Amino acid sequence: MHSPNNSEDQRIIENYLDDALMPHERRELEERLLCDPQLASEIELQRRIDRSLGELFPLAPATEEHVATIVNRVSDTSPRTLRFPGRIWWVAAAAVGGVLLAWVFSQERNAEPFFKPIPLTQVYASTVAQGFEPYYECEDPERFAQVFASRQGQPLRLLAMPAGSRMLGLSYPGGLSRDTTAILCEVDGIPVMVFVDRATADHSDASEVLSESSDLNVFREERDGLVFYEVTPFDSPRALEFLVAL
Amino acid sequence: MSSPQEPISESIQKLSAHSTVVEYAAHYEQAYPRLTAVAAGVLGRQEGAEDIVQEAAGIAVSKAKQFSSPHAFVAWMVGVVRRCALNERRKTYRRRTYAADPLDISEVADRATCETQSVDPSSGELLAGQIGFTDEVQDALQYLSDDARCCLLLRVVHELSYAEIAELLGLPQGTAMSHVHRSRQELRRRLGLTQMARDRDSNSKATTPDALS
Repeated sequence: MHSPNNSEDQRIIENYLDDALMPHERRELEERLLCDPQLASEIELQRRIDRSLGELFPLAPATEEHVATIVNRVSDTSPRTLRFPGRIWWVAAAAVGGVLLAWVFSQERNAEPFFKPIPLTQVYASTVAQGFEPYYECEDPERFAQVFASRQGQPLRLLAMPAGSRMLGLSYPGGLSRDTTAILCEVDGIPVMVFVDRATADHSDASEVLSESSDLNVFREERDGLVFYEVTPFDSPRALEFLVAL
Repeated sequence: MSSPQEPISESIQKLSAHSTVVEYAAHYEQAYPRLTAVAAGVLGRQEGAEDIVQEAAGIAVSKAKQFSSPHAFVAWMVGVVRRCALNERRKTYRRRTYAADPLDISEVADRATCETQSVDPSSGELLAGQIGFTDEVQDALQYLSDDARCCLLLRVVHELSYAEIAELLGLPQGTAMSHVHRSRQELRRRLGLTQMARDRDSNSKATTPDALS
């Protein structure tokens, strides 16, 4: 017989009301309901309570008028920023753009140089290792001058070289700066490189002779606002002197 | 419909604003009955619950732009509704005065309770005085906590799952379930006791004339 103080019965009733009983528990309960009027009346009482709750607290949908009032107030409030005239957005965008540009430029001024000078002997060694092929086989003196004019701000001319010496062409392997221009020459069949850059781009690291390149010599010369380095296995510069400013 | 001279970006902004408002309206309309249930749960009665929700909506709307979505707006509104309902309940308690002698009122009330019988004690069948039973349910609800009433109404009347109740009220799911189960048991216990008292009264009335005769 059911007792209202029986916690297990209460659990079963609650789960039954929640429709959360296992099928076999539900069958057992429904069998009990047939022979336990007290249990049946408790469940019936709950159903009446539920009906009364439904009467006391009816579902109350919002009236159209009320929703319309809220919608109007939301549209007056929430999208306020979206209702600004277009030109205000343009002014704001321009202001933000200006601030960003100012920031970018200030960063550039303070930034470290992005190019790290490379020892020229290292550049020489890698160029030789790659076959000592020039990037631009320049035969035209005018084009030759233009290359230096545009990259170093000073046109250069290559004087006639003595027998056994010849220019193979130009290359842009870096070294002092990313604008460093290299002239690949062959002197008595031996590769020689002349690096040219602005004097302001000169860096002591460039003339460093690495231990693995100890058979190389580096000769430096500065004139006409330019700095010249010749990297060569010879004991004296053999190509540097043939480069003159126009 | 945008005018031909209107820049496209402006049209899109207007459309976006309109969509947002429509979303807010849809969420609010859908949530309105539940918000009313929360207000009624805190108040312990339906009367005034809709006024509470409308008052809360007025407050919430002024903050609408602070919410990333209409869903967040409605979730926040539940809290506003509860606070507004609590304020209203406190005000009601402070205002409580008697227009007549309380003794006279209680006498009338006792008479009404004794003469009203809503459920047949043997069968549980609804009797003519069901209106009295509903009043008793209303009285019994006052013995429950605010949270318990809210959970009970959302479960029984609005048929929400425990997970939905928990999300709406910001409670653990187990707590929501426990509130509902205990509330139902408490109501059954109280209304069962009332029923037993009524049975005793009716039995004694039925036997007294025979005894006298």
